[in-house]
Amino acid sequence: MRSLCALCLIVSFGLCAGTIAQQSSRDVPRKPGVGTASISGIVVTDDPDARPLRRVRVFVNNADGEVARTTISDDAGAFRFDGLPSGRYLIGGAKEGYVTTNYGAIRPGGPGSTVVIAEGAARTDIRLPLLRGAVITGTLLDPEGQPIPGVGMRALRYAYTANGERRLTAVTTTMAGHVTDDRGVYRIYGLPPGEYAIAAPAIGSMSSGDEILMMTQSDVQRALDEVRQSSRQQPGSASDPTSTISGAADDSRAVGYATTFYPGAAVPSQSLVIPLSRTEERTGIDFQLQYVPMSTIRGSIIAPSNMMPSRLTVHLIATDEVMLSETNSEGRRTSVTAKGEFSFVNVPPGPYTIVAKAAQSASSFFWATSDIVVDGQSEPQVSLSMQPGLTISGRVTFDGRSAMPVLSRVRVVLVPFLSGGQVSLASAPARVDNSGRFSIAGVVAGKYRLQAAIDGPSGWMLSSSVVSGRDALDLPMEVRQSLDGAVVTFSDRPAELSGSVRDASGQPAMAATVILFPADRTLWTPHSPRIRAEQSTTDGTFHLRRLPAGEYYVTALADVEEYEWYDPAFLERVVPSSAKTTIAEDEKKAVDVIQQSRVR
Amino acid sequence: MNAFCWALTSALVIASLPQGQVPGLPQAAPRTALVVGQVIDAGTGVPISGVLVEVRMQAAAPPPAPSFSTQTPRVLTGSDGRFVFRRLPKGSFMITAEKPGYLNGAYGRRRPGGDSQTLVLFDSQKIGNLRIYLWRHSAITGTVVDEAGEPVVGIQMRAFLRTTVAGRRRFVAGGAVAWTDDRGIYRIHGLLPGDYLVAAVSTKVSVAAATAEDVRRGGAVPSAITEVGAAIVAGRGSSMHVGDALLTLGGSATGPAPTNDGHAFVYPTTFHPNTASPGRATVITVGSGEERSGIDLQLVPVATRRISGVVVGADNQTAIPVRLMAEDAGDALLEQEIATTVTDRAGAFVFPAVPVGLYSIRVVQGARLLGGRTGTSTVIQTAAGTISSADLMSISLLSDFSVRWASFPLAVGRDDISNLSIALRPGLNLFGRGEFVSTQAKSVPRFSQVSVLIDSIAQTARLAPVAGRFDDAGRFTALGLPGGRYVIHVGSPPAGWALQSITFNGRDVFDTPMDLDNTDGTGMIFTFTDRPTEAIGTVRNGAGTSDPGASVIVFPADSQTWSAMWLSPRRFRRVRVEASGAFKISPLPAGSYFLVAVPDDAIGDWQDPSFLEALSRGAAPVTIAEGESKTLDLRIREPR
Repeated sequence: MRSLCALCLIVSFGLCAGTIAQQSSRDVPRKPGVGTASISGIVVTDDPDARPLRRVRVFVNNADGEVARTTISDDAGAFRFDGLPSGRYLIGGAKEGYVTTNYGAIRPGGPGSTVVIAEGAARTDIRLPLLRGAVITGTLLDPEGQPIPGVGMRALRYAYTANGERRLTAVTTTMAGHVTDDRGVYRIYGLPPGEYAIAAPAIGSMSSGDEILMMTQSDVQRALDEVRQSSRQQPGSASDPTSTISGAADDSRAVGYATTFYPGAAVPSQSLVIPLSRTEERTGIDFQLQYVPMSTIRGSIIAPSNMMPSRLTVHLIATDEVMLSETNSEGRRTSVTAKGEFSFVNVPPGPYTIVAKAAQSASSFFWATSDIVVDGQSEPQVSLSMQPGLTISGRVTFDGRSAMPVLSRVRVVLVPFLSGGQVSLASAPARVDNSGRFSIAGVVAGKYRLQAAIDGPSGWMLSSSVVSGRDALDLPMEVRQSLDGAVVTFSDRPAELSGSVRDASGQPAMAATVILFPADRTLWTPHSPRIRAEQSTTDGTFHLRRLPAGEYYVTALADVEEYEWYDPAFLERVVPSSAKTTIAEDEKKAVDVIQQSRVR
Repeated sequence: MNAFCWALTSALVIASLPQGQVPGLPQAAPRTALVVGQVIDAGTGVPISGVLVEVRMQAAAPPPAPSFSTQTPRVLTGSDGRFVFRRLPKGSFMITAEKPGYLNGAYGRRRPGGDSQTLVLFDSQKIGNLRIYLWRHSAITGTVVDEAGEPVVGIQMRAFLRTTVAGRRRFVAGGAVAWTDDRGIYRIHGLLPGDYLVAAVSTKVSVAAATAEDVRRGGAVPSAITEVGAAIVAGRGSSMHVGDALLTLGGSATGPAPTNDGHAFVYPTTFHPNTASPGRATVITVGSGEERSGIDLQLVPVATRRISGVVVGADNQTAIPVRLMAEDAGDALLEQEIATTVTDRAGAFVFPAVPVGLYSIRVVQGARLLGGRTGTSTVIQTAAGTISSADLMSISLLSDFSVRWASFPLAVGRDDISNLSIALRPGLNLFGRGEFVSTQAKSVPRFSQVSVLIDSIAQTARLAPVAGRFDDAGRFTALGLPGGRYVIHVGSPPAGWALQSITFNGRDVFDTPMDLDNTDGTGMIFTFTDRPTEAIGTVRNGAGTSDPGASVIVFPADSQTWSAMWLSPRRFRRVRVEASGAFKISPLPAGSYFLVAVPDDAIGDWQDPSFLEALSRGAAPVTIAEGESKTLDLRIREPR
């Protein structure tokens, strides 16, 4: 349980760095809740009729997450939120079968624009158009052409990962599931217009557990001949007592299902992309699974003498380039024999990483990883040499005059810097003791950013983390051995940048994405605290808080995809249309930005 | 369909081979037997390809639940539906066959969902024409609309199969969970043939708004909140404030916005065609492989009341799940969880939206929950997200826990109910003794070899069974049980002994649920015997050969008892014969019975009194005395 909590912390921590507008006003502790402002309006269908839409879950969230409310539109499509505190609000609507829509978005499902409202004010003109989602439907068949029920189908589209890499990623809709029925029929609804790939994930019983052998005609024929022969003999006197291997037939091959992409491709790059227009119902996206040769991965562990092999677990992680779901809790795992051997049976072709971990106590931890490509032809062998876990320790300092936070509220965490199919064993976030010291144990060699956060509201901002004389906040550091003397510094002098975005005609531009990024190209790394993005409000303003001092570019663009700003190629493209600005420590700077047209 | 049953001649299947036919057996058993079989669609008689067939050997010394160990790889049938297992040792085997879209098949299974049989192989035996039949799933489909006639999208639909649990008629969830699509259409597949109720299921999950706020600020979500599935953030439409609570949205139909005074209209669980009461729902009969369409529902929102109170007497009153069940779950046709919440730091709870009706409130703290195993996991980060993979070696079960519970009825009428006080009380205990009754002056074995599990019959309680223990003197204890209805499972007794009876205050509770209400239960007696009361024999067909296709039904000769089966379900039994035609019903309470052998695939609703009446015609009652092992050869006959 404890480590699950640790997982939650890591997840929320890891995401912290990237999401728009959440690093904002934690510094203003405020009672949740109640004020005198109101927001009201109407939900209509996003089509020429613009009919009022009932039973829509309409939500308002203020930018710092302190206020979050939901109501339901009435039969006339009307909704109303009363008693809101002043603030900056995102408004949206969700209804099963429709595309979840943010107010002010320029495309269905796109990022919205914040509405700024003062105490006592009433915004009554919020018109929220909801687009009926498009549908993809078809039939999934097995290699014999018979329907396959019970497969959780996925609609995928190219999107940026939190690391700024473009990948096929499963689309989440308001649907609970996309499971094929007994006729093999699936129906994925509520989709925004766009280009989609369809995937049928590997079926559990056919891609895990023990080996499955495919019967062949000759196996059956030979067996039937034997039966015929023996019926002429005495039972009990028959042949072949020498064979001791258990087995089905001799020349049958091990088969299973692997994830398959419409129209039947084994790799995502060969999937056929389906363009889907607004509210389109695309039928006939039928495809067939094929058996693929399955392999057995055999491995051995080379363990140091002070390691207890009984506590060792080996995990098999698929590292292909497709994200079928955001988190995957179904990693395969196995134990190790007394001789230090392990195996994974029934493994479909593809790239994998094998991770071995032996945690004997909080302080004693061994690990090993190995990458492997399974091709279905050869039987792969791996050898894993266990290494002791590393420890990164140091102290936390506070540079400023504000009251220091309670040290037990400070967490320090190593965030791995990964790209492509890389995986890393997570270490648990470390708490800071009364003397300000922390120690992160169980660290695996690799590239990391050393980050820290304070639970709850505070006026402090993480300003640097220095390990071995190098900053490990701006730039990930390579950890190869245990290190002491890390210094994590919080500052109470964060800089801010605010202003307004105007379009070419000088009008305030709402729902533009304001992007701030460092002038120094070496700092263009995912989750850098110097790369920021925020949607402009409905009156075209923006406000970026908690900025490190430095030299930056700033620009504003319509329709930027989430996390696109972590893609260095994208930043390179927008440099020419960006304005340079230098921000000093503690400075509250104002700039006006002209919205640029998209360069793709 | 009958034809194939009779086509499978018993000659194929050799059971109970006389010992000593394979003399000079070497130490390592030779693997020389061979089985060739075919998987066939029972509806069409056509062979089925792509079926996953698995053979598992029955372990030499069977533990309580017969366990089979995998010996041989699984195979996929080819286009002729055939499969081969080579190099099998002699022994008893189970062969199972599965393919999505079909009910799982097994060797010996003669009807959908029927019992399988054990295949007994001797050394070097070669079987060439073993057959396994698969039945297509049945399906129920329809459209769900709301009071305005608009399709209801994305809600959970379930089918409940009529069955008999411990002699009582109940409906239990069957088939796949289905969700309505964007047209309001649902399709529940994976169904056995039978009688069903169909429902749009709605359990209202909520947490107090203040608790949600605490959790959100504190970072860590208590496991109870995760377990009940409550959303703790009202953002993005995942939940909605109803008064001072946060009601989780999604999964069931979205009702109108709450009124200004904090009351909401909600869609209750609704049965086809449009009732909230399972007793008034229309029963849908589904045949094997049949698709029943047009099973439509209309949902109508109902007014609700706010029910609040406080849980007292808990060890730690934070985040205790509080459940509201329809009526008394023990006697209802079907268990329905109406609403679930968790207590806040002060032990207070609120159900923000409860329709008018009769309920029971149930609180259990500290008990082990099924699926609630704790353990460590390895967290693996990838460029795209996080993978959590459980570690193998470190799964630890909570061993030290103290149960506290409360359960009481609640009528919700015109008004809100506030300040309910739910006093938790310690778990109840069961005490008693075990007795070994020997007719041959055998030495009495050790009691500690016998395992006992006390298992709640409530399906929604999610309580893990509690283990009972015998000490060396035969004293029995089972500690920490929440009040409720339980069945007692006894593991296999020491070799040569059989469990003859379990009585609780003089009442037979062998296979029969027992109620634990307010006080500890004393006076449980487990009686083991070396001479069980039983009926054994062989079923033969008209030609006098043993019949592997039969089931034997035993029921009391006293027809008065037929409509009150729940009083003594042990006296109403059905067993599938072995592949040799042999059967054994043991132990059986002494008494006067009818024993009738019928083709297994002709068994319909055998617990129906009119069916028993038909079976009894022309049958002669058999009296079995205490400790008697009655041997009977039965002639198979078609019912009616």
